[in-house]
Amino acid sequence: MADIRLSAVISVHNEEAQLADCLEGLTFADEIVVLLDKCTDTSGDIARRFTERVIDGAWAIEGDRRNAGIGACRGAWVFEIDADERASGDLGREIRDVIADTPYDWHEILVDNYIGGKLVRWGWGASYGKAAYPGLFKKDVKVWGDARVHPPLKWADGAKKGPQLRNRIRHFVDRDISDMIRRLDSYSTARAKDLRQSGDIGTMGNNVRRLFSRFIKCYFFRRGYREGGYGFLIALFAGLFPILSHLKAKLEDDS
Amino acid sequence: MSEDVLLSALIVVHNEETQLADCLEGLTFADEIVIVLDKCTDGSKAIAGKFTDRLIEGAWELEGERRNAGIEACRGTWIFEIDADERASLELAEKIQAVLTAGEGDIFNIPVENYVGGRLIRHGWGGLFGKNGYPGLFRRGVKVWGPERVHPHLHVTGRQGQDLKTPIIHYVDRGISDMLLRLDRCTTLRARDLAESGDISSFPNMVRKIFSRFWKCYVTRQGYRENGYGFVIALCAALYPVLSHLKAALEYSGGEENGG
Repeated sequence: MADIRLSAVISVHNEEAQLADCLEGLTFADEIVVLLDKCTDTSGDIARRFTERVIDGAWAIEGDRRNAGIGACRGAWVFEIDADERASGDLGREIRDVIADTPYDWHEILVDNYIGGKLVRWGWGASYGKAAYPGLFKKDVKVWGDARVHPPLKWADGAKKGPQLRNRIRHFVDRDISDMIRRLDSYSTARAKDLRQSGDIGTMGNNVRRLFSRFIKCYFFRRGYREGGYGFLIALFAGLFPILSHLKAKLEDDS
Repeated sequence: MSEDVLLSALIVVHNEETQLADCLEGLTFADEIVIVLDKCTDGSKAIAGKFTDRLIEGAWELEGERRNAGIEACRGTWIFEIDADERASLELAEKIQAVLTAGEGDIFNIPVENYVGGRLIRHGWGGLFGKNGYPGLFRRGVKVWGPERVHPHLHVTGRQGQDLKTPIIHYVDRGISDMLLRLDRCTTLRARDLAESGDISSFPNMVRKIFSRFWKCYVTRQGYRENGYGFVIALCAALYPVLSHLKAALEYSGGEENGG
């Protein structure tokens, strides 16, 4: 095997519509690792056209599944991407340049989020969307926590964060407002399971306060208002995420 | 013509195989059952055929039109309208029979008891996101539905009788997910109605409605008494106009669909 310096890793659950497009942009990596989680569509066939490093399995916890993918990487550096994201040639070249001589252990990558065909730059955050993520890191410095949705990250002691990359990754996060509503629903269902398991589901009063504080954070501080209606909806759904998760945990069970 | 059809029970169905048999079993008190099968691709037709031969199959674009088609197919002097996720109890059946023999009026309101999951939720419904009652028993010819996709308007010509005292049972949602997905479906349909009408109103107006509708459902209609479900009902009722408006403005304006 040739020297593997950079691994690109992607975790997939039934992504046949997106996967080929995403994998085509990853040729700058020395290997591509694809983790297939309970796939029942043709994702596996698509993945094998691009790489032989394909891992099939079933993971209940998002963090576990991401750790399994990172664990399978043989490169000294790991670039993490999702099927609904796209890396440009410029980003690929910058990543190669950075890992050639960076003194740091991990770097953040800025995200351009698209709803339908529209770039929505402002207002993301508060667990409903990411404006940046730590997607380029030395293997062994980043470990995902064991949550179903938005697992917390644990960094190795002394791991040093470098500057953000200049080139952005493109993220096709939602096709339309219906997609946004369904994502709010599935995130809050998964979060409710985590809350029930933790034994501490929080209080109604506190989660009502968070509705307003998160709305204000996304709509004003992160300037969602500049994006018109979509910025309003991002802030609204970021605000509703905690209280819907709380109410699902309180009123419903796993059935 | 059969002259002895006094009461027609009417049900309009789109892929309801899990609910339909249960609903139809409660309708034996009617003289005929009329079932409109709209674009059904599941076992609904087979189930319906076990209960009646009065089946009308077709594809309707508008909610109001398909309901009017059902009403027209009814031969009874009186029509009782019910949905697949509703149940008529024996007691309600008796009340309806009593109205037919002695009731004064042409159209009667039937109260609704809404269940979310297994739980009866009495308070907080309204604002297009749930009904406390509906004009479900009426004389043939007095009720016509308007041409909207969702929550069509009613045109009523007869005399309003006294409300029935016994409620119909409505299994409206299985849980909060169902409520959110219903909100999504209804606001998509509403957005198309708005875009077609050419008047989608203004964003600030819809934002004001968030607060006025939340207040109406949660406080005035006492949704707060229903623990958390009252909050979610009020929330969905509150967001209904602004979501419909934004879908119309961002995705259906000029008749083009965004994304897809």
